[in-house]
Amino acid sequence: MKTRRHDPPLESLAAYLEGEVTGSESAALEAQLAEMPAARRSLARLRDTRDALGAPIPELEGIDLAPRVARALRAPAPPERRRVPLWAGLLTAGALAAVVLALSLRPSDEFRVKSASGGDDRATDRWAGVQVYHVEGSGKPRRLGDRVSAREGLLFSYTNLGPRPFESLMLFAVDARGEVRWFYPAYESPGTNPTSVPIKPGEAEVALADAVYHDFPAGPLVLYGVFSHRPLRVLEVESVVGGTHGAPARLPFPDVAVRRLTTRIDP
Amino acid sequence: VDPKPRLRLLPSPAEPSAGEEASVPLDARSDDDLMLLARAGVEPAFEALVRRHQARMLRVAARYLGRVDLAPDAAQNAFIEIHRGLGRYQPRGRFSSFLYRVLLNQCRMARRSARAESAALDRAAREPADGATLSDEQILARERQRDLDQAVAGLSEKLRSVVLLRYTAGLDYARIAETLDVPLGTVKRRMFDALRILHEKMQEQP
Repeated sequence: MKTRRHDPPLESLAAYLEGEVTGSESAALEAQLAEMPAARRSLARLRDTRDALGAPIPELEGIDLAPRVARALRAPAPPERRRVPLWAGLLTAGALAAVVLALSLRPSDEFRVKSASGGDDRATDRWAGVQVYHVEGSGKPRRLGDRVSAREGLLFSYTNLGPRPFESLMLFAVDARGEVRWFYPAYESPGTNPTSVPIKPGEAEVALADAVYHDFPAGPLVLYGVFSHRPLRVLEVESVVGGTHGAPARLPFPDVAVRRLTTRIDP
Repeated sequence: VDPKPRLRLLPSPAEPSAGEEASVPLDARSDDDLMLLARAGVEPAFEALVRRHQARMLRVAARYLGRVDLAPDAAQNAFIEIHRGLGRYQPRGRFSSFLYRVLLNQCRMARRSARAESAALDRAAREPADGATLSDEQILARERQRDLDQAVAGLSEKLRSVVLLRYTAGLDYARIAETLDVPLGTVKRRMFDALRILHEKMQEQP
């Protein structure tokens, strides 16, 4: 009676390819392979896969990152920014409870009232909004008004409702010197170009966890919240805001909703 | 036991070997040595590190992201991140694990951002960069590569990371385990699972 021969399992072939078999296992497998064309084809396919994954990609050959990295490292650093997680113990438990209560029960509508839409869809004004709070040390966060001390940090929450909620959000400000100051995303390293932060659709008063501190100069501060359906990049925004562009009421990006609020920094 | 750094950054004139060490060209130095030199302010040392690793970094990023056009930014950001961490780097002979851990993080961030971008852009990035006439063999090779890229893109993030670190970055299992912070057995299991899935998918292709 003839014994039916079975091809070696794929795992054995993969282990053989990877050199993860003993000498005797290797010899036994090679003997099997000599008699089994299907197993040889499987092994050849595994080898091809390995070789193809290690092969150069023509479009990337010749790219030298060294000058790009060196340029990025020499670029001026963005203005210093300090983030203080709310859970870091700098706020007392009572103050933290107050934040949660404030963010969940007392939505600020300053951004919505004073906003200017950057896109064509005015209907989004009803659905997307940013709420701003300010906090000093371990004190109780309060809704942002017309003035704020330079020593205070800023806290944010957002609302993203409606039939077509947004996917990304940027929060930044233009200070009295025309410099762009970033809250979300964090922009702390020259040479990087971070994108908007992803946001939850269909939710209201979602608190962003960090209180962000900047060394703002005294004078007007224009805060922006930019909702978008695709992530925007920091440098893309900085090309149209700040410096000679000042703090425009509208931004030239399609399909975005811009929320804008002016406050004043006291020294 | 943590091995001591092999490089003396502040050679003393009293030590005759210091001059010899200083004469070792950057290309011949270990990754750890280059990191220590870069930390000491020797700019060409970091440049040498970038040039030593960039080709594989770019390939891993492109294959992880399934997008060649996003690879240079991801690799560049990884190098910048590494430069920022020079002061904290521990020279323990594990630079490649550190390097690819940073790169995979950058790739994950890039992937999250890119996911929301239009499919049209994705398709455009996959088109051949030039309009040159290709031979049948080149067309076939390109098709096979595209099928493989799609198969890799279809793997879970865990399996994809392992197979790319192994075959594209060329790391051994121990380094992959360090990079991903998982046991060696898990790396092997994921590797074999990834190969099995890729084999099945490539078998489905004509």
